[in-house]
Amino acid sequence: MIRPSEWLLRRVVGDASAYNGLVGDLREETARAGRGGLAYDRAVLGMCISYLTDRFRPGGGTLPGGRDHEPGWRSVVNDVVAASRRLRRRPAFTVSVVGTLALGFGAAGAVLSVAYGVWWKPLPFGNPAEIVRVYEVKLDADSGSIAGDGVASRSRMSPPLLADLRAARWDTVEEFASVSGLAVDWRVEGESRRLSGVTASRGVFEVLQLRPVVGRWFSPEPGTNEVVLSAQFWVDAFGGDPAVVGQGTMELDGEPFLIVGVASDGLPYPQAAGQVWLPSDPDPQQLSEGMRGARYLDVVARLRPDVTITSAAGELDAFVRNLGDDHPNHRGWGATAIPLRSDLIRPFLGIMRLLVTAAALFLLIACANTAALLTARRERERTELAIRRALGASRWRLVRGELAELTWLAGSGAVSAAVLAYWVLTPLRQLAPSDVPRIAGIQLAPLVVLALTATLFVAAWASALLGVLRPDSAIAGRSRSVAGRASGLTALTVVQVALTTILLIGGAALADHFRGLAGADPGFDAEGVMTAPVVLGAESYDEAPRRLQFFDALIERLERGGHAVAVATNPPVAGINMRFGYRAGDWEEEQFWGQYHTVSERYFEVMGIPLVAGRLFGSDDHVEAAPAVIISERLAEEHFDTDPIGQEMIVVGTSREIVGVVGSVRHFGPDQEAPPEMYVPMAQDTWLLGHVVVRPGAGFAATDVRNAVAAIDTEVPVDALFPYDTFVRTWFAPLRFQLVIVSLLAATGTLLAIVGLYALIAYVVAGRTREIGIRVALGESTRSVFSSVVRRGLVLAVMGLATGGLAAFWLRGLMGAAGVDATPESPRVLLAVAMLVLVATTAACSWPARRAARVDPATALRAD
Amino acid sequence: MDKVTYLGELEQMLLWAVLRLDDRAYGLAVRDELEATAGRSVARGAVYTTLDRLVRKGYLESWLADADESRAGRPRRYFRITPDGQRALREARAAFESLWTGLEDAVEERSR
Repeated sequence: MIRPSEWLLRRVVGDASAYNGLVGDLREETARAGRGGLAYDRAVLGMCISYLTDRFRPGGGTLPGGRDHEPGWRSVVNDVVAASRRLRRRPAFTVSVVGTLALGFGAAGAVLSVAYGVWWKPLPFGNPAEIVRVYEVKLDADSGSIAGDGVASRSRMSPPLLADLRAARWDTVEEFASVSGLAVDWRVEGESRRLSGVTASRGVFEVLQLRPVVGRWFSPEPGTNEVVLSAQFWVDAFGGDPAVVGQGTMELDGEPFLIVGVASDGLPYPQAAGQVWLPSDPDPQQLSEGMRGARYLDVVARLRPDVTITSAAGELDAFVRNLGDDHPNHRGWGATAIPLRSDLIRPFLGIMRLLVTAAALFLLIACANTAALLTARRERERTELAIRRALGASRWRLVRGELAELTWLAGSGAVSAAVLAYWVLTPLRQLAPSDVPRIAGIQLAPLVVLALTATLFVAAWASALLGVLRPDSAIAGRSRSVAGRASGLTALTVVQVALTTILLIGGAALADHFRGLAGADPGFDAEGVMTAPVVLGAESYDEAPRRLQFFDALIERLERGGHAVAVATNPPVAGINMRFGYRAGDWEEEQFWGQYHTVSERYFEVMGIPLVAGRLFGSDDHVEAAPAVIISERLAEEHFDTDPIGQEMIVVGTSREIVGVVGSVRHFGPDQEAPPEMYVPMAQDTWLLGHVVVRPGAGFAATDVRNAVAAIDTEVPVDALFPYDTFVRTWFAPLRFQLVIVSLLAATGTLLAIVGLYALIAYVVAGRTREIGIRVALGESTRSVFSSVVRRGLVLAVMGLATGGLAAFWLRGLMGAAGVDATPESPRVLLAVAMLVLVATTAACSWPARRAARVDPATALRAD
Repeated sequence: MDKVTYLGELEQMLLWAVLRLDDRAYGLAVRDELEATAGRSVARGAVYTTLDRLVRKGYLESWLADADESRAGRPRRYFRITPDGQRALREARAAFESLWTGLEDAVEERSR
């Protein structure tokens, strides 16, 4: 079979006998050297290049069929060759321009690729525009309509509501499906392995219009135990064996499940998708009237073709409002439908906008810098161009030379930028918070590369034409003063400094915000605390006393080692949301929502949550004792005018006595308000799930928790123990991501601005050599020459700073949209940025200034 | 007046190498020969494109033969110098020598 490289060579060489002899020689040569196919391919490709370049040599040209070149074609080639020679003669200039373009377009390409992959790219499902997420919406009590944009009042749906939706006939909706996260234990070879995944309606794949990698999806009959594997898990656990699909079974939570299919990986939805998909069949208990308020199902729907979102949302809303007549739990509720894609990216829109703006600013800086470098060079070459014109070169000829040169520059810039962007994307992907949808699959987007490359070339050619066709260009040698000619350059430099200032202010404000949040009091102190989730199997721990027995035994065992230990269902910043209802006797009708915790005795001590009033839980708060609850300060302030201690409150249907008030905790992260919280003794409500939190004493080993669990029940799997800080770090990840990107852009932008300033000042100094020489001859000190040059740079920098500082006002809205409440025009930030820009300017100017100060008057006066 | 074409340096060297190799001159052998006698290694691409050019100019002719296992069944392309090629080589040498006439001593002295 012919290799691709050989195919190419065949096309390039043309003549069959020449090609055959050539390929044979290359084969023989690689075989003789004992090298493999790769070396051979490289040799063949090298030969292709040789033949291609030979075509363009004068006297060369082994074109297929032996055709001769057109004279016009040849002269273009000559232009290109001459331009490349000119560029090679000025390595400093060429490297600056190509480097600037690479940085500017590379960074923009990488950031825009991220934005494209997360934001614009259609979801990888069939007809993705027809998929919507469906929410139940709490209506505004006064107006009876959806309040504001409805984001805050949206809620997931309860199993009975989903059942109603699926049973009804719809004009706009084809099918509904629900998804929720899941952890199951897989018994394999005598060991328990914890798997994560989702449990979903049987029709979920039809709603998403997804094709199985292998096998089929769930059968529609309820009650069949079937499992769909993720492709990665299929490979990891079963070696990707196709025979396992359709025949193999897995024992999950004690029941056998038939493996029916394999789903592709890296799906943006459902985000919880892990190793397995299980079908969820609603059991009658879940469909009881009381469950209508349990809104925990993530519901998606496939719309009928050609149905608008608005009409679908309208039909859904009317349906749910009608339910309110018969079911009190739906009274005051409506529903809405949001396109799945925009709903998935909504939380990240702010970040994305910020990044795209930063990249655009950066691109502008790079363009301004390139323009400055080009202008400076053109001015230097005025004499040369004038001479060539005088010698009879046509204007067209000069334009062609310029075009060829800029084509080279743009081409090299584009290639370097693509390489840089590709190279930057890997760390960018790793840095990005993992919950950004589709971030793992981000690649250099061809569309972005194409658009940026086209922009680059168009700009380069436009610049070439403008540069040469200017009325005063290259016709007269030195008709204008250096100062006059530099005015365009000056403007460019000011613009560049201004843009850099904006980026720097943005970066500094972000950093400020970050520091502020990191230093904010989250309401708990988990430094040094280690944690591990422990989940009991549903079938062996179906009774609460058994669960309590297990957790009590675990705590006791660990405390024997001298550590402070507690178990809790819902620790802060861990991404868990147990939003449960509460009310007090005299609030009767009104239901409020807060974070629900069941905690063991020492939870508050271990987590460093202070007691404000009343008491903490003790051994007296056992199963048979009077139901007790501890509330957070926030809840107390919101609902109790008088001392809440001793008052009754209804928490999830149980009346409890408030025994204590503890400090409020920012449960959802440092930038979120602390929600109302209620804590219930673990003994009075024991769950299958418990986060073990340990404040280690001396001699604590990472395996202690695992050993303690194993000593009680070998069947219970334990995940690895990790520092509680991990939760906090994970929370900070998206912010750190923005910060790193903006700082990188700002730092590189500053570098580019320095290069631009340097180019300008160096150019001005070179043009003023004679003037400086005269001044030195007349007795001006070197010091004064030096400072006059630096001053000129500083004046420009200050102008740029002022422009940029004003423009930064506009940043405020943008940063607000990204969830950053730092005011970018805060004096501290402005001062820091101003210092940085001025120091950088001084550095950029001092080199040409030193050169100016060392001007020898005798030489300078002789200079032309 | 006939168009005067001069042989380039690499062209001359390749013609010499083909002459030396007699009827064993195919690409790889020509390169080896160049390396062995002229003591310099020439880029692979330059050798083949120049050989092709010499064929096009009519200074070399070529034919295919001897396909074997080490070459994945591909034949060798052998080159032979044509009478035109021999003349061009002679002319190049004559031009070269006439340029040298009377300059040997000068170069000797300078280099000393």
